[in-house]
Amino acid sequence: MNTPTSSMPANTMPTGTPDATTAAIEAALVHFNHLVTTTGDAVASIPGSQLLGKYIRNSYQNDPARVVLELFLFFFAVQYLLSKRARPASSPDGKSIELSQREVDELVDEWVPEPLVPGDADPLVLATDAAQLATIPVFAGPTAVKAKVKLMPVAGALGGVPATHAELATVTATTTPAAAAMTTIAQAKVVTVTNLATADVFGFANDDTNKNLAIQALRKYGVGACNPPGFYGTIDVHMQIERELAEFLQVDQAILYAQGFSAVGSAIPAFSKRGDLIVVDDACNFAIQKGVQISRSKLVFFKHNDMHDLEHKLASIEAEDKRLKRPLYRKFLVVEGLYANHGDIAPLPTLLELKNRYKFRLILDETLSFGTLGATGRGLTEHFGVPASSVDLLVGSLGHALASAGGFCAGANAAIEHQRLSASAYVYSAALPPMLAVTASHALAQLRTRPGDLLDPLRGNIRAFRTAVAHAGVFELPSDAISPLQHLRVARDTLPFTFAPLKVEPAPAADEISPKASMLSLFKSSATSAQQQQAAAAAVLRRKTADPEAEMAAEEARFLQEIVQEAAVQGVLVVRAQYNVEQEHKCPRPSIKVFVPALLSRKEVENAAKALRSATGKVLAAWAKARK
Amino acid sequence: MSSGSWVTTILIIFLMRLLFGIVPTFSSELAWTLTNVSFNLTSFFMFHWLIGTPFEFNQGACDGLTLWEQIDNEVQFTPAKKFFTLLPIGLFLLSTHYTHYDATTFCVNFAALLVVLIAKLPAMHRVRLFGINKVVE
Repeated sequence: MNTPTSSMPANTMPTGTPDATTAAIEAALVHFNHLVTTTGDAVASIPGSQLLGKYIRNSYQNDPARVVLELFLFFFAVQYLLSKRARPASSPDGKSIELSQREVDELVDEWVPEPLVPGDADPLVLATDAAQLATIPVFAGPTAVKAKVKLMPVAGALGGVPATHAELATVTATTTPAAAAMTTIAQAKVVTVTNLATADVFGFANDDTNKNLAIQALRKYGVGACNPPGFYGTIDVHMQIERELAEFLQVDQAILYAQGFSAVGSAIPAFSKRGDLIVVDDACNFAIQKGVQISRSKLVFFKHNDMHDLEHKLASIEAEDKRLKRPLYRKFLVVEGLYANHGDIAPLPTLLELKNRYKFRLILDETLSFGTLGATGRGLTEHFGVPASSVDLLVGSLGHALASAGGFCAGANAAIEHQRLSASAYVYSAALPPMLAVTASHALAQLRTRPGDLLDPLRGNIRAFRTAVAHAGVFELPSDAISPLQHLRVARDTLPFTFAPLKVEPAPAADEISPKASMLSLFKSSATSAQQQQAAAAAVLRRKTADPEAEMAAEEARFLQEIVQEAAVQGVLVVRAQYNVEQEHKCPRPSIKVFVPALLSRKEVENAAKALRSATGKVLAAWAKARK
Repeated sequence: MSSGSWVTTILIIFLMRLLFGIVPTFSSELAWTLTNVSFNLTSFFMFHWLIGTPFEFNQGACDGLTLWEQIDNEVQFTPAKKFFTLLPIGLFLLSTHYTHYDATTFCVNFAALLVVLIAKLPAMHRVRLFGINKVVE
């Protein structure tokens, strides 16, 4: 830059009048000139400024366009350097809520740790659960088919009176389930009941030979290694049961999991990843739901056991793949052999035909069907007369019919070997205790050597139970005629009353809360006083009663729970099916779960059904009277 | 904020200039132009062309993203992104200076810079031109 040398023009006043303004202008100009020269001298005195000045003069090179371009680049760089961190809107979690420092401090000051037992669950569910826990029978001996239990006095009136908001709120605010249970256990009396609540339908858990084998194994191996199977946890009895299972099912290999729940929940994500597709039956059990959820695969649910809907969905997937020219990805079809939520069986031949046609791989969860279906207990595949190797992944349980613990997956060599390194539950969980592997082996041997002795009485008892229970008139039996798991659901149209929803107060008008306010309310501490808890419970109830079907289901659950309690008094132990309602994909309607055991005689089964019928009748009468 | 990768990148640029300068028939101007252009080309290929991750750690969450888009969990204007945006600009200014502002080399250098700068703009985050490198979900 050239230092401007402005010179003060000589007296430019028009001849004649000396004006005050022109004198002021002159003075200002002198001042300005002085300022500029001093700044020029100051700049020149900075070391290197001469060099910079020379460089800039050289770089101009008579090319103003280029200089403009470079200046633009320079200012862009400066602006970029000074920009603050920001997440672009196009990224998946683009919009985040900014809290000011004051708000952060406020939240931190108000924070109170949440209680271990949450007090703000849905009051209807909480009240039913509280009542159930307060009256749950406590086993006073082994869980045999004729079990000794301590019966709790039935809490609350057996009247089926619909609770009002206030009563429910009181229950949740003042009674914790644990406290209620502890006070009554001491006062309970011991009775013998027929146990229709255990999945051990063949009674292996109380078989003396089995028990002795378990004790011997305990003496030999201890309770087992604390390690995963791949890291010093595998013992010879594990390998033996895996071999036996593979031979029993006539497949290449089997892999043993320490927990039945995590068997299928870990086998699915071992093969299906993000970018793959899983088509699931929408009545699948919770373990399968969690397994497909953590696989991060794309999920498509089809209507329970509806093969037309399944075919329609498979065809539309194929059409869309063709249309979008998608690169090849893995496709899986997940179904259960015997559905835990309904007790009906999957039509395997149709499924196999569909999976072969649309190039899917079939994952079959035989938790309840292994050991109980088929002429010799080999499961659903034997029941339909197809080889077990036609199923790509067969997942079963050792904790149900074999009365041990754990699960297994059987299939081709490649599929099983892959799981030894990629299945989370195999790699990161402790191995099965060896005594349980030994008892499972023994139970499997029983099934192998004398299937008729076990399965024929089972099937006969199931038939007898179904016909006997049908006489009650109020139950519909969605389960299959050969399923040892029988669900008893209320046929609502046969009842003389309805499970009407409770009187609902209109939801608060301020439903459109800003995301920031709702997030702040999330963090604010849970109410400490009982009164506040009551108010909170009532508020939650108001907010959540947009769903009359859920309300009716909650009432139905209370009805069934009272039948279960009364049945225990009458000498038969059954359970109500429990679900994690908030997490289930499609929560089934409430039901009573009955596992029909093989060890009872026909007469005993009929007596048990009769006791159940009389309990039902009693509760029905009480509810009908209360709701007239 | 100093980082090993920053120092390494600057060292690599030095080495490239040195190597190009060692070739006997290359003039200093050509060496600078080649340094600028080859640096921009390789950094474009590494940051903005290659898709996904070499090893699978999070089940393919970043399968469709270039390395630039994956840096710092897709947050813009982080120190790393600032450094790697300003570096090509600085290199460009150096190379135009050392080629004495000759018009042809200027155009070549500027084109290389433009390609790399536009790719790094926040507005181009997750944008795929002409469907190149697009991963269909």
